[in-house]
Amino acid sequence: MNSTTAAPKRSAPQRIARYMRREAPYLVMILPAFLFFFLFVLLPLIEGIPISFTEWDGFSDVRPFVGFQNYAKLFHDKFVYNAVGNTLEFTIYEVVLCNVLGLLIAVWLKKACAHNNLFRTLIFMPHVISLLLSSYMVRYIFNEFYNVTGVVNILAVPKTVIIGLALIAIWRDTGYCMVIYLAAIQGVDESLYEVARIEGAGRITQFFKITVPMIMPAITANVTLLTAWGLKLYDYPMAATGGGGPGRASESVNIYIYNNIFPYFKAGYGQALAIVWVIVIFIITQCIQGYLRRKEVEL
Amino acid sequence: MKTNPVLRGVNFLLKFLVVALMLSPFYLAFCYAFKPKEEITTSGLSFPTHLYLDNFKNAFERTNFLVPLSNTLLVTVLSTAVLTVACSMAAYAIARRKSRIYQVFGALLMLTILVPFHAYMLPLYMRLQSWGLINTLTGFSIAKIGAQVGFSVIIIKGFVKTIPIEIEEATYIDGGGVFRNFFSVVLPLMKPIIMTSVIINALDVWNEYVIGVVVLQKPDKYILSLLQYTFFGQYFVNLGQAFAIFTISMIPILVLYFIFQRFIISGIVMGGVKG
Repeated sequence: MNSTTAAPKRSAPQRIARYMRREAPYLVMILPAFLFFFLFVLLPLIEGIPISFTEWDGFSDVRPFVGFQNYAKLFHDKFVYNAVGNTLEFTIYEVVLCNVLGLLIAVWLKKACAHNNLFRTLIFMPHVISLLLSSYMVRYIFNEFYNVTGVVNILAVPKTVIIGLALIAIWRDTGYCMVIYLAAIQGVDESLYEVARIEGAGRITQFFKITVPMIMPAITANVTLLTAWGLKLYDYPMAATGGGGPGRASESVNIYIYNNIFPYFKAGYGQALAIVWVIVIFIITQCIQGYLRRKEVEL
Repeated sequence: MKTNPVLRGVNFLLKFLVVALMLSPFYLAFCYAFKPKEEITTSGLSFPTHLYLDNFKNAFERTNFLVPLSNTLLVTVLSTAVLTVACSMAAYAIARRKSRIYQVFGALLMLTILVPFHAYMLPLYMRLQSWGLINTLTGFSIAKIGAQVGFSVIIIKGFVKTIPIEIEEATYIDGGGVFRNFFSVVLPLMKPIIMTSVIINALDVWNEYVIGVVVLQKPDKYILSLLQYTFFGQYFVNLGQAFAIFTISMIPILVLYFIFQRFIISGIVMGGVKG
């Protein structure tokens, strides 16, 4: 921030030396975080690409190159379609219900008073418990409920198992959505509501004409993030349905990737699916985000 | 606003019911954990009548609970400490410097926040294996730190941008260097966001599961999530013991939540709107 005026007649090494003198302390500051990120996220992510073009089993020394065969095979694998279908179904339930319920509860508990504050704290509480533990808890509770009342355990029936998993997610994540929406709602100018009341707008009109448009950025953020969470589905079925059961009715894409890479010894194939899935997650979240951002402008 | 007291009462009752529904799994876990087998079948959902601790005793005996508990504590403290130091420095540089190198790094972190661990777990496993870090708590911590860097840097960076830069200029006039400025001027101002990131990272490390599955395979290196997974996967667990395990696994986290909820929630809000 000292004299940064242009120095036209400097040679490249001099410029680099100057740059290094100025930036060295800051480069030192980003170095540790960068190393962790580079060595243990970015580099492995890139190293996965060549593996996806091989028929490697995951441990032997030979890695036969097969070109795009793994990618072509993905499109004829009925288990890929099954896993994608399960994951998308789960994601839709989670995104829609967590956001709708979270928003309604946020509006409901908007007023700051002692009992509302306590209720908010308690509604957020399930979110701090791990995905795994909450799944086991709900699994045992559903099972016990079946033992006592005879009402069928939805986690044990192929047709309803995804709804069961979504219920666990809704229990855990509704509080999260509520917290984000509360923060957004508290930022809305109170005078807007006063004007609306004077003009005779009811509660429901106020909600759709003031609250929703004003908190659109929070809606965009929540819908995008919960979509990403939903598409990463792994822990819930690992615990609540013993790794994707009954049969393969709750097998998610990430479970199928994991099973191919480790227990099935089809590392190349699993890695190809993993790469396609990263691209799909990007496309879906970016499309949703782009669509909602456009809505933000319109409203 | 004046509303009918009856309506207010109904409204309160409805809120109470929603909260009760959200809390019912905790209540059940707690009740079942403190009841002997015979009492569970006869007393249903009523509160435990006396302090019955055999479920906890049996669960402890069957699981060797203290080893995974201390492993989890260790990796949580280690990863959180490294993340806090590394990410607050990196976030500061990214927030303050205009040079392209920082911006590219920041953008890469944003992009990879969406990448699931499964996409790079095999190459990461191979790297850790060639460095002899499979089945070590260091290996687990390293993998977890890598996965958390993006989120931490992004929430801290957002906060640094709200600190007025004029405050820092005084140190430079006094002749202090970049590091003195950072540690003696900026860092104290970052206290609230550092508290937040410590707690959120600690929660995330404590709750991690899939990285554990990949990196830690020996029971003496298990963390709590792996203990839960193998315990419930291998045995037919009687209800009282299962819920005793749930209860003891939840208590540290819930205590932490109630003490630090203000920081947890503000951090969630900061991370949520940006990430």
